[in-house]
Amino acid sequence: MVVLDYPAWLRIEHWVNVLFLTLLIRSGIEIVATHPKLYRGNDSRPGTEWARFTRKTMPTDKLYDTLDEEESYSSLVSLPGHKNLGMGRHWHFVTVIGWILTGIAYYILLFATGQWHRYLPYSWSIFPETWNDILTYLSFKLPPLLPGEPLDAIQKLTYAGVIFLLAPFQILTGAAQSPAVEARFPWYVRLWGGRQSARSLHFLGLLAFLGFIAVHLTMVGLWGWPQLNALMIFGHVGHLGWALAASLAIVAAIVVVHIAATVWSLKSPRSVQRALGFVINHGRLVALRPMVSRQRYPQSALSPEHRVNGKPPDSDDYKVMAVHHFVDWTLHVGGLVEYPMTLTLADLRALGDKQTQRVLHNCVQGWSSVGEWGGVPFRNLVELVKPLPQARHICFLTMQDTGRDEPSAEGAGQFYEVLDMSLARHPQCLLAYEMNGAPLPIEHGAPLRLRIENQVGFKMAKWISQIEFISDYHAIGQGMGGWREDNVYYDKDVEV
Amino acid sequence: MAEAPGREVAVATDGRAGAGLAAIAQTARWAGIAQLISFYRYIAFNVPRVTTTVGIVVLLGIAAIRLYWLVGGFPLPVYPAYLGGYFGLLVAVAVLAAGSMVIGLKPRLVRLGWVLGSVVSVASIAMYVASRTVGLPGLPRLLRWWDYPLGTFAMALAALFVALHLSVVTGMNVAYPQRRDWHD
Repeated sequence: MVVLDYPAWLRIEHWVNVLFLTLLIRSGIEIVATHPKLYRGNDSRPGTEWARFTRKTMPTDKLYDTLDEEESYSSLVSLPGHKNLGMGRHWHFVTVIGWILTGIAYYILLFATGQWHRYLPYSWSIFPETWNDILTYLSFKLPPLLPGEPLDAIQKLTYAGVIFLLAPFQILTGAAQSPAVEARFPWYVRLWGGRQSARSLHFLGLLAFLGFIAVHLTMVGLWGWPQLNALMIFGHVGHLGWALAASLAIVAAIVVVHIAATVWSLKSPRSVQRALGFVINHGRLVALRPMVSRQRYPQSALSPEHRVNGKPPDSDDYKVMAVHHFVDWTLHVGGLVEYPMTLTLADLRALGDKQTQRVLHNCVQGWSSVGEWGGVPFRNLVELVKPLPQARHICFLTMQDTGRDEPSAEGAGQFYEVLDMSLARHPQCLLAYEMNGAPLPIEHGAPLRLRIENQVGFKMAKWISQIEFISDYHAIGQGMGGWREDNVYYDKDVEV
Repeated sequence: MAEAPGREVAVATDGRAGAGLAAIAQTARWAGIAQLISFYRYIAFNVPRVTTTVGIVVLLGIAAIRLYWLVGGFPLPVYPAYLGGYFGLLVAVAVLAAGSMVIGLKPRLVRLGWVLGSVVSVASIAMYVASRTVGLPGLPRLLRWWDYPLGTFAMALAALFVALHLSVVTGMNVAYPQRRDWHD
C-alpha cells in the first residue's frame, strides 16, 4: 500500500501551480477586458451578449469599433492591467505552457508513484462518505479523514474534479479559441457549441477555479493553516511557527513575482514582448503552424453582423476612390519578385476564378463571426509575380493612418502587417474583394483585404494598397512584424 | 462612447464637519474605496430566465424544508403551536412569492414576488438565528443547537435568495420577464 505522504515533487508542484494559476487568472482577466462581453454560439452580434463586464455604452448613430469597447482594468485584478492586451496575451500563453508542462509532470508522477490514490476514488463507498461529510460540514464540524489518507471524502472528490476535469476543461476550451485549431478542425469548435460558447465556458471555468481557491483556502484555515502548510512545505509537521513563517514567505514571494511581472510589463513592454514571445513563438510554430484551414461553414451559419475592428481611412483620396467604387484604386506588388506589377481591381478579378470561403473570423480581442469572403487566392498572385528565393515574408501596406483614423489606438503611422511566405500558399489565403456576396464594405477593408484563416484577425490587413515581398522585416516600422506588433506588442505569429 | 452616469457623493463643504467629511471622501477616493464599492456596476448579466428559475427553485426549497418540518420532520417531537403557524405562513408566502415571480404578467407583481421572497428569506434566517441565540418561547432545546445540517442548509438557501434579489435590485441581473435593452 502506498503511503500517501507529501513527497518533494508534490510539494514543489503545488507551489509552482499556485504561481502559474494566479498568473493565468490575472492575465486571463486582462484578455477579457479587451472585449468584456460574453456570447453563445459563434457570433458576437451587439446586444446578444449574456454577460458584460463594462460600464461603457456604445453609440448607435455612428461607427464605432471594438477598440472603443476595450476596458481598462486595475492591475490588482489583471496582468498587467490598464488596457494591455498584448502583454496579457504574452503572460497568459507563456504561463499556460508552464502550467501544462507542470500538469503533465504532475500526472506522470502521480501515477508512477501511486500517489493518485489520494485523489482518485476506487470504491463506490466514496459517495455515501461524501454525503456524510457534507452533513458534517453543515453541522459546523470537521469530518474524519479517509482511513490512511490525507483528505476527507468530499475533499478527495473535489481535488479529483479540479485536477482531472476542471484543469483539462480549461485547456480544451482554451484550445477551442485558437484560430489555427478552429480552422483545421471546425468540428472541434462545434463540439463546444461554437467559438463564443467555448470562450464563455472558459470564463465559467475561471470562476470555478476562483470558487475552488476560495473554498480551498477556507478549508486550510479551518483544518489548521500551520499544520497543513508544514506538510506542504516541509513534508512533515514539525515546528509550527516555522511553517507559518515559511507559508507567509512563499505567498509573499508569489506576490513579488506578480508585482515584478506587472511593473516590467508596464515599464518595458518591448522587452517582455521579445523575451516571452521567444518562448511562445517556438511552441506556437511547432504545435499550431502546421494547421491549415479546412473550413466550409454552411450558408445558414453566416453571422447576421460582423463587428468592426479598425476604422477606415479618413483621407480625401480614399473617399474619392470609394465614391467611384474603387475603379481608380491600384495595388502595387513589388519587392523581391521577378515581375513587379500594378493591378487594378479588374485585373485582380481577372487573375482567375473567384474563390469563396465561409469561415470563422477570430478577432484578437475575442469576438468572432462567420462570414463569406470572395476573392483571388493569394497563391495566384504569388505565381504571377514569382518571388525571388530570398523572399521570406510579405508586407501588406494599407491606406489606414492609425494616428489619423483610429483615436482609440495606441500609436500612429501607416498600418501594415507582415506574413510569413509559408502561409501565402495556404488554400484559404485569399485577397478578398467581396464579403457575403457583395463588394467588400468600406468598414471591412474595401476594396481589398487579406484573409488568412489560421491567424487572428489583425493579421488580415484591410484597405490594402501595396504588397512587398521582403527578406527581413526588422527595418520596417519598429521592426516587430506589423503595426500592432510595433505599437501594442502583439505577437507576429498569431495562431492563437 | 459614454460612461454610464455615476453616483456622486454629496459632501457638505461649509464648517468643520463639512471639511472633515470632505477629507474622508477625498481619502476614500484616493484609496479607491468608492471604486471598490461600485465594482458591481462593471458586472451585468442578461439571463432573466435562469435568474428567475434559480430564484423560484431556491424559494420553493425554503418552503419545502418548512413543509417537511410542519408534517413531522421537525427535530423536536413537540413544539409550540405558534411555530407550526409560522411554518405554515412561511410556506404559503414563499409559494405565493414564487408564483407571482413566474406568472406575474405585470412587472409590479413580479417585483412584489421578489420582495416577498426576500421577506420570507430574511424572516427565516432571523427566526433560525434567534432560536439558536436568544431563544424562542417554549423552545429552550434549540438554544446553541447549530449542528443541524438541514437548518444550516435552509439558512444558506435563504441567504442565496437574498443575494440573488440584491443582484436584481442593483442591476447586475435582470429577472423574467424583464430583458436587457442592449442594442449597441
